[in-house]
Amino acid sequence: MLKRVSSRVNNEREEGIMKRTLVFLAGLVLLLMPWSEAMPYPDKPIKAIVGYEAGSAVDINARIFFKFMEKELGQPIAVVNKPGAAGSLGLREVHGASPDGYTIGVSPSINVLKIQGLLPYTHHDFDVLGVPAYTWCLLAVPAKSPFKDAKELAANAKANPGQVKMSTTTKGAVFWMLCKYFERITGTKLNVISNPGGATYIAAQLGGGHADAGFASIAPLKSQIDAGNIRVLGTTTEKRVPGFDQWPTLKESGIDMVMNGWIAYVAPKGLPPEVYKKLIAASAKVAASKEYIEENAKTGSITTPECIGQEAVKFLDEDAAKQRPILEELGAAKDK
Amino acid sequence: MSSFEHLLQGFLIVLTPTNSMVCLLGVLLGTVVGVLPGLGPMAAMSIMLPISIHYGPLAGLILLSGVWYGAQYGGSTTSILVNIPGEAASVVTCLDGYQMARKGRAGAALAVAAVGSFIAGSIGIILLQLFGPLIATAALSFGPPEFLAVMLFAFVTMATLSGDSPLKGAMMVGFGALVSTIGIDRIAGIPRFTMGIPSLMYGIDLIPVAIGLFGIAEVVRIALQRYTPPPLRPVRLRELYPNREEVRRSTMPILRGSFIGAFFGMLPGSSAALASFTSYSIEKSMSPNKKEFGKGAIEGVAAPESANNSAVIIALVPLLCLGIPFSPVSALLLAGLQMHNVTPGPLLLQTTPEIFWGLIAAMYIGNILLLVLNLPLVGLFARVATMKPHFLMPAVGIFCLIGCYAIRNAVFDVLVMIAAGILGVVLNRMRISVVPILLGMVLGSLLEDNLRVTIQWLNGDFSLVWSRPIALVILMLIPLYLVLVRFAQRRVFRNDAVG
Repeated sequence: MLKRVSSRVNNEREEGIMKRTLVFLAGLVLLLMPWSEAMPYPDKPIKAIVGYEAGSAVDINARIFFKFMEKELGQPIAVVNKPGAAGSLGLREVHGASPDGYTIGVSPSINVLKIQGLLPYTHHDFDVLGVPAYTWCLLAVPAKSPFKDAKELAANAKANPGQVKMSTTTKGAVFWMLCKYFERITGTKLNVISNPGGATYIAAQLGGGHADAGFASIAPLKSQIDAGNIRVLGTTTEKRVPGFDQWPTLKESGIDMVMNGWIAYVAPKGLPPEVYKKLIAASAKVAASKEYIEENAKTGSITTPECIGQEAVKFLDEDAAKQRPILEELGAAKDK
Repeated sequence: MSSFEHLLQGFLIVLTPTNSMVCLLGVLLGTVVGVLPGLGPMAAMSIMLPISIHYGPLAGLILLSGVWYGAQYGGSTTSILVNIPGEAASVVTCLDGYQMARKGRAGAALAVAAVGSFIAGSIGIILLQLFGPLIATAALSFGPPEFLAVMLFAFVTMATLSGDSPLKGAMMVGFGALVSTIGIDRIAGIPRFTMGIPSLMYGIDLIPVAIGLFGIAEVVRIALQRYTPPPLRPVRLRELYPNREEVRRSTMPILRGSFIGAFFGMLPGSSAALASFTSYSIEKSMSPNKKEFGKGAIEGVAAPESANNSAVIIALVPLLCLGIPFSPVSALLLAGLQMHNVTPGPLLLQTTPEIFWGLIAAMYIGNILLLVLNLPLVGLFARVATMKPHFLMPAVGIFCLIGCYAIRNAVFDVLVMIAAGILGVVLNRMRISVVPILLGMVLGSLLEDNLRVTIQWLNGDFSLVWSRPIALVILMLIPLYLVLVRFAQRRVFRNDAVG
């Protein structure tokens, strides 16, 4: 009898507790609902996937960009390095991620990866945020080299086909592309020595006098240039580079080539309009900010604040068009 | 100002609270990172990079380089205790170090590794201090033919690692070289053997294979055997440290290893791994105790551990004195310096000498700190080796999994490790040594790359080789080395016959 009473009392107590919990939860949900709708993007950390090793040129430049984007967006951006296959492994992951603005990707060659058969997507399969900066490149020779400017180099190359040793990186990479572009424009044939890896080989081979010339950006070559072991013949930009205007452009020397390394920031396709607008606005602001311009100048990059959003897509199309004939000629085009 | 005065000034700069703290933090973190398998100094340094920027160029450099050479100390710990190489440079330490641990000499192995690393590090720092710019000029004079000559020399020395049967060894080396070709070719940019699988485009990384072949295979082997508890006897403190015989036998290997490591340090690529492999091979070829190698010879621990430490220190020479980073880790250091507008290179000594001398002073201090940190821990670590396999092996397995994933956040690497583990178990059963596989992977890609670059460089004109004196000298060393090995073996034969 007592048991039944106590069990009924217990039941009632339990029911009471259950009711109170339900009310509490309902209240919580009602309270939080307007918050969850009003929580603007971004309300949690963003993941940035860099398809290159930590410390590489792409990684350093990307980290600089994300440092400023963090401040603009107000949320931390966590950089995850997933190296492999010219960055295409990282891009595959970005492509497969949900388009909610919490995954961003980075690539210096997204417009030609499909041509090279490394990725079944082009930049049109992503939402392109922008190409906020490019790394300008230069043509360098060992200090003891007899060539005074790029024209002399081209003339020598024409007279001695296949003799002029041009030090460069992996086939398909930007610096290699520059060598091939140079060959096309000047109508010459060089002995292009591809090295397994980054521009440090170019610096070592030019500084030690093992090669005759090479294309690279300023960062890997700066120490040797300052020490006087390497001399610069010209830059691959439209106009002389501010801060380094003692070097003529290759255009001035009569070789009309303008091609530089850039980094594109992308997100999975299908971002909601407000998220896309916010990211575009933040990218534009960062690209135009003074501190970003200064930091980029330190690593040898020039900012292009206008190349954001649709402008960037146009730029990528044009750049792909420039690279395609070179890749086709060399049999590297796999998408035919 | 003499170099001694410069060094004193360097010490003055470093013995400030900030710089000392940063030095301690760097070597501490480096040791931890080195002990954990798979997680290399690269990952730790990339995390520390944004933090190091706050402190200024010298402090940042001290922090990051401390992580780097500190990791070389810790790398031997897991190799010796549980047969898991922390990184490529610690692979050969597994061969004799683990066998010593199984005989109960883990403490001796760890202590010799620590002391050897300290001595080699000190020698490396002295060489850097006195001959830095000279070594840099020498490094710059190495072009494609010279690198090929060095790789050929290294390849010849490592013939001794093929185990009992040269045929089996050659098969495994070939297999390793084949595996190293999988992925997108570094020179031509063309995928090889990727069979359409995107993950294979990166290639097969060395560390997961090493962890699998050594570590996982050992875990399985112990799991399959009947556990017999070792006879209970109290471990005396004296047994935790090397005895007189072992100290005597380690001295020359440590010295030889230091200089071999210093030579390889100035070459591009993974110099520490190549240094430790070559040092072990040379030690084994020249040693009167050749038969003991692979079964627990103390020289087999002393030599490679010294080599990888001095290699890492000397690898700073091209970075500081030329401004050219010869390895991905140096590239990270270069990035850190450039963010502070400091351009390392030949001008570093003239424009900002305090960075050079400050770093050298910090390395001396860091080296001592590492010895002080690691030696007392030897006793603690040695007791880990005596843990019951029921507890130790699962922990080891989990460490392997996590460490393998940490390399580049790829599940694929973990799968490779498991596959390599299965292969390791099979090969152990067939009594085929697995070391040549790793040898093939390391040397295969190095030889192939250097050969192709040199061929392209020669462009059909083989007479160019005669104009490269350094390459010719190194090539001459190959027959010279073979003759020396013959002499050393004849001495052993005579000793054996007499004794």
